[in-house]
Amino acid sequence: MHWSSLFGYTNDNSPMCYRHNELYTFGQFKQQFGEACHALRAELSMLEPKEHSVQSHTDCTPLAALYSDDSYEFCVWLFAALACGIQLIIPSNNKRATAQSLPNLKFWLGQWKHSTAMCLNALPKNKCAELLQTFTGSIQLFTSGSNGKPQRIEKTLQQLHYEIAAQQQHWGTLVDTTTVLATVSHQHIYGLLFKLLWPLKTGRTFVAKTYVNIANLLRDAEKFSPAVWIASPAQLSRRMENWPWEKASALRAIFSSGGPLASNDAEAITKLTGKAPIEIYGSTETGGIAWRRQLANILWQPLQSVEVNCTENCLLKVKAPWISKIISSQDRVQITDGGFHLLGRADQIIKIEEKRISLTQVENLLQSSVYISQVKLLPIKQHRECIAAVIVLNKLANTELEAYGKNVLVRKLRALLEPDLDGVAIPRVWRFVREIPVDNQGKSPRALLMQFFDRTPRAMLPEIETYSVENYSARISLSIPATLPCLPGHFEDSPIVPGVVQVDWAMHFGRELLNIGGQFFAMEVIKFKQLLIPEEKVQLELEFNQKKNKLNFRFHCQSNEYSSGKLCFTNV
Amino acid sequence: MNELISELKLLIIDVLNLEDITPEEIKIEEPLFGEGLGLDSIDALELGLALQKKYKISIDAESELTKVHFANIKALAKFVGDNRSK
Repeated sequence: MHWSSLFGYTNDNSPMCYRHNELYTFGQFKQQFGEACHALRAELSMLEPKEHSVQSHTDCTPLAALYSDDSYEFCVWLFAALACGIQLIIPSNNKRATAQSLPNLKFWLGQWKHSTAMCLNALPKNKCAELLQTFTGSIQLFTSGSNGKPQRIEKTLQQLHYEIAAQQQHWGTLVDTTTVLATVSHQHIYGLLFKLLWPLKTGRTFVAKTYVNIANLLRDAEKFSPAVWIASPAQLSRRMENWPWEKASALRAIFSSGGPLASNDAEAITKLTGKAPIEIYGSTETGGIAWRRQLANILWQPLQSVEVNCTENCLLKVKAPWISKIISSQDRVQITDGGFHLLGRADQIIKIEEKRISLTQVENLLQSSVYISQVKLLPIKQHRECIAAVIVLNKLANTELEAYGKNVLVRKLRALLEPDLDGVAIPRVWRFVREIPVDNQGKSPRALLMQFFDRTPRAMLPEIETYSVENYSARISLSIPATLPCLPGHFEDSPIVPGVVQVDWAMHFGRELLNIGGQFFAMEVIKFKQLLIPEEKVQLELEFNQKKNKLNFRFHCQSNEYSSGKLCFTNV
Repeated sequence: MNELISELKLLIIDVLNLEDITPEEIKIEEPLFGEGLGLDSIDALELGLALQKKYKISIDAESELTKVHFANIKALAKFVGDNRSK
């Protein structure tokens, strides 16, 4: 791509970026870009002749990894590398495991622990550096693959710009002349597009840092008004009333991506800022493909020129000008006339606070420790979503557990993962068990593992015969052994399942199968119609109303209804 | 100071829902984030909010000083002690 199609600034004095309380103009950027190109070319010329020939085969194209938490520095290296025909790898972090997984790199650009890393501050000044104008290199982004290994997704600048064109067509008028403030990183595709490439293309200014403090962001939004906020659910869900929300009137729009925004957060943000957040749905593989303002319409609307479809197994299929072939994702969807619903992942990839995590990768890391003979991980929702580990310890670990206690062992296991993983990928809840339960297919489904996290002791629960879960509802066939300790004592000699036990079971299975977090605080319209006698087979129907945070339950068999009601939970 | 330290330990365990750990097991000079107690970036957000609510202090999550205040329990107790509304 040529220079002119990437940058929309009218002249060298155009403001481009606010960084460390200073304004950087487009001219200043060009100067540093030239210097970075010069430095890279000098390094390239020292490589073997066959290696630095830009036109040669891809396997000879020099590779560089780029990481910086400063979007301005990132931007300088990004374009300098692409102008020099370098293939750029943009990982999500600069952790040890990431660096080790990137062999045969010629350059480390930005913030790396490597002694040879090239950073902006150390760049020699060069007044007459030549300004390269064509960008031929490509970009590789990382995402968690199903097989546990990070997966590289290759993108060309052209592809990224096709998506920018689609976003611009949709939101161009809304974001025109705004300054971009972000609470997400440009190391991921969403930030890369929304915080950097899109403003550059349309000649808008951006703030180089990633905001952590929303109060500061709001103050700056007023200072740099009009502004847009590139956000994600992690920040939109954590608010304080006393932040200067009145300054949000300087915001033209709030974008949110990385995962669906909870409905109560969408409502609260709309109330506080007067702007209904625009959610963008997409992935590293597909780029952005759909949007919604959920308070107006809960369905995801595909962006213009995007075609969505689904496979027999409800997996989403996407076709868009910015992806080279039709992509079948692992996201399950339900497509209707007016858009689509997202139903969750079909594989071992989960998202915690927008970070895509491969449970297989974390399992493999744990499995390789000297303490563990078997491990299974699962996401659970306690006060927030986190990873839980069910572990069978080996002899060595059990000896240490006995000698020093659980806390010490857990710390050791965490310390083992810390150099390689983002914080949220490290298990938060640990259960050391004698064996990992399996069903008759030899698998360990969630329902079996959840027993270790139950708030209701296992001995107090009926047996699940079959169950099915769909969206936010579940049907469970239960058999009630007469031996359950919670049954006798109500009426002499004729045990029944007391009402309070039924309510407890409904809550238990609701938490387990429908993943309900929040604290229980009230019951509504509870009815007990007929006595439920042990040894009976009974159906439990559960339906969770996400909007109201209420769980509807109903115990019945074909002809009889035993009980029904609603359990109310606080918002998490 | 000791009272505040115990209070902060309980607050951290409670707000961040830390399991399997007692206040005695949190050492006052061990790092809260990464190694040590193993808190993550989301914990930082939540802990910041909880402290602002409970002690009516304001915390600038982006200031370099905040990193120093949040380094460990000892530093945090000093920061909260110096800044809370009495």
